[in-house]
Amino acid sequence: MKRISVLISACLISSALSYSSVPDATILFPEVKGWELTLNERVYVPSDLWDLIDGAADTYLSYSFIELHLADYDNDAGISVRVELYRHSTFNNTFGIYTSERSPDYNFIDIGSQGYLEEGALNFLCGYYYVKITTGNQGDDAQKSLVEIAENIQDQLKQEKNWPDIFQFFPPDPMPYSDHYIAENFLGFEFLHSAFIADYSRDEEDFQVFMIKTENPEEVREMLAKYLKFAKQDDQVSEGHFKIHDPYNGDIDVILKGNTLAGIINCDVESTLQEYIGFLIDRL
Amino acid sequence: MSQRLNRRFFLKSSILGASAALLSTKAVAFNDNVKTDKPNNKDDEQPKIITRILGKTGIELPALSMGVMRADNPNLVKAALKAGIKHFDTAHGYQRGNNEQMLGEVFKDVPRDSIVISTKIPAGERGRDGAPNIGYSKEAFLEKLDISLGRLKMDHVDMLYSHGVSSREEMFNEAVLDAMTTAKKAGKTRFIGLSTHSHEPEVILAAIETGVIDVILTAINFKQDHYPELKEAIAGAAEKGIGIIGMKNLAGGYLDEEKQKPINAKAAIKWVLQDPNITTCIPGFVTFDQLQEDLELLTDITMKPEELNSLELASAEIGLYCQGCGKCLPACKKSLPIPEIMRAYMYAYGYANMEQAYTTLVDNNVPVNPCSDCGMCTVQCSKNFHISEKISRITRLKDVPQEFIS
Repeated sequence: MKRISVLISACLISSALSYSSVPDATILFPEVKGWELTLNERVYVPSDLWDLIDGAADTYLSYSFIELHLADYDNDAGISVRVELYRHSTFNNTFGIYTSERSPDYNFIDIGSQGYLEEGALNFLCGYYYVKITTGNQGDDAQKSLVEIAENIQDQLKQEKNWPDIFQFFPPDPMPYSDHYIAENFLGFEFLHSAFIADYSRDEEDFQVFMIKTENPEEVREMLAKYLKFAKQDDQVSEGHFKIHDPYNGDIDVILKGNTLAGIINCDVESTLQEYIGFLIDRL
Repeated sequence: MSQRLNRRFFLKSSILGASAALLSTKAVAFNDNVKTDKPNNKDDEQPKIITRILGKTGIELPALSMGVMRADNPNLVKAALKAGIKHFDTAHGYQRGNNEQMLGEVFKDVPRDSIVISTKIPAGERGRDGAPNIGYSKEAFLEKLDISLGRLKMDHVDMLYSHGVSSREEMFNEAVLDAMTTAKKAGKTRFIGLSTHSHEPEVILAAIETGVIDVILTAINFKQDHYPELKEAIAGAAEKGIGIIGMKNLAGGYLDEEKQKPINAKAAIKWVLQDPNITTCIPGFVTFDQLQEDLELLTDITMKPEELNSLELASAEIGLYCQGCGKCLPACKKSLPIPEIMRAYMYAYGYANMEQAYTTLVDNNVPVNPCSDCGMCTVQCSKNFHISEKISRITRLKDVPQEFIS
């Protein structure tokens, strides 16, 4: 009986976190005029993602990868396009894996919540799906094919063009395409997780701002308490500003307010630091 | 190999490990390719770092290296370097190149000859159904190497691997072998090799046959069914002077479905290092705590009795996941879709995804506790899963009202 109740509890928790409809390969991949669609019968799950992407799978698993569906599109001109749909447990996790593979140098295009087109590859964030489209063909037609298939996939998936709300509380003018999400082991500590980060550059000083927002204030207070304990600081956890003397990552200024822990990393210019601390205190 | 036989091999290996433990750290130094050195910036009272020679490459490496694949904090890499770790392993595809980029930033001001860097480039994209599509030309492979070197801010790597070789056929991919030997001649890599985590013995034997492979990065751990064959293949490669590096030593990392019982990481790595043919291992630590724990392996790789016990217990644990071999299917009197039910079990107990588990059961028309009126279960799982028990546990999910799940 106890096991059943645990199971039901797990169901309730899981349902709040997981995707709201049932994925099915036949409805994930649209028929596209002029293209022959071949669905891949094999669906990759966490236990066998290694078979396809080798060691890169570990990063996907750290963002609660659920499953991967694949399909191929071929046209009469001899162009073959492969589509990979990586589904993760939450939008934030999908955002996290997408941004972990993104570079600000890429050629960004208007697709999904965000996406980019490179030679032979078009990747984009589309709700719970991280969509990766590739071709071994070269030339303009091949590149146009990537866009054509991507637009059809986007239409088919019918996902909202989300972006994590928390970034609206960040200081203005982050470095372009620097916003990202670390699901686990933020700063190299198991007790810090679910962190949103953006890079900033001011007067030749490069630094980062992060925010962790938890369901309840106790959770984020516990994170701060563990961080202070690790740094061997006996400060009492309360709302306000702390400077953590992290032996590995250097001094880190953090602000605790409600259920949010925000911080500034790698900023050595005192005036800039104070300005951003002030901003975060006002904004949270 | 049967579970019983596998266990016997494990115990045999454990006894060898125990013998090594009795001989203390110094015993390891009796191996020809083992040396000791002082940790960086430490005084004479500090224990010496255990090093081994990587086959015919002559590279001397600490027994502990770092698989950087999941590390996104440059300070973690810096801490590892400062602690005495010398070899860092990455790949062209990790985080779509951001992993190499991060290493390039970390090492840009570090003397190049003080570190040993390896990267991996795939022989081609995986094709439909995951089958290898040996599609890269020599030029495409070399182009990717140039991109990797640019990210790493280096003019060469120390080891260049063909990434994820899983068959003899892939090993003999002429375009890749040609590309790697060309890169070596051009000075873009000092040595060439491959990484493998599937059909390793077959791949290693094929690598020996090529006559050009310097280093093999192989999955190796105490839970592999084919460990005896792998150990033999490794010995054959070592005899030919091929350097061997171990990866995937933690066998998944956890003993239990709830991920509450982590495998004893130090013990698992030590177990691999009892084979003197393994020069070093590349655990992928991602926290400073994990780094600190693993750092003990720099100076002590002797197996303690309690570590042996922990691995023996772990080896006896039955794995969580069905491999979908389908060998069970003919034996089931009710023709149940057992691999699919086991997949549902994995969703529920492995990934806490009840909705996916429920959907899998519904899609496959699996009733609640279908085994209840079946006497003796005739199904024998090749992985020794208790099939009927797992079916009983997971199919109860269908009794839960759907509104609680989706």
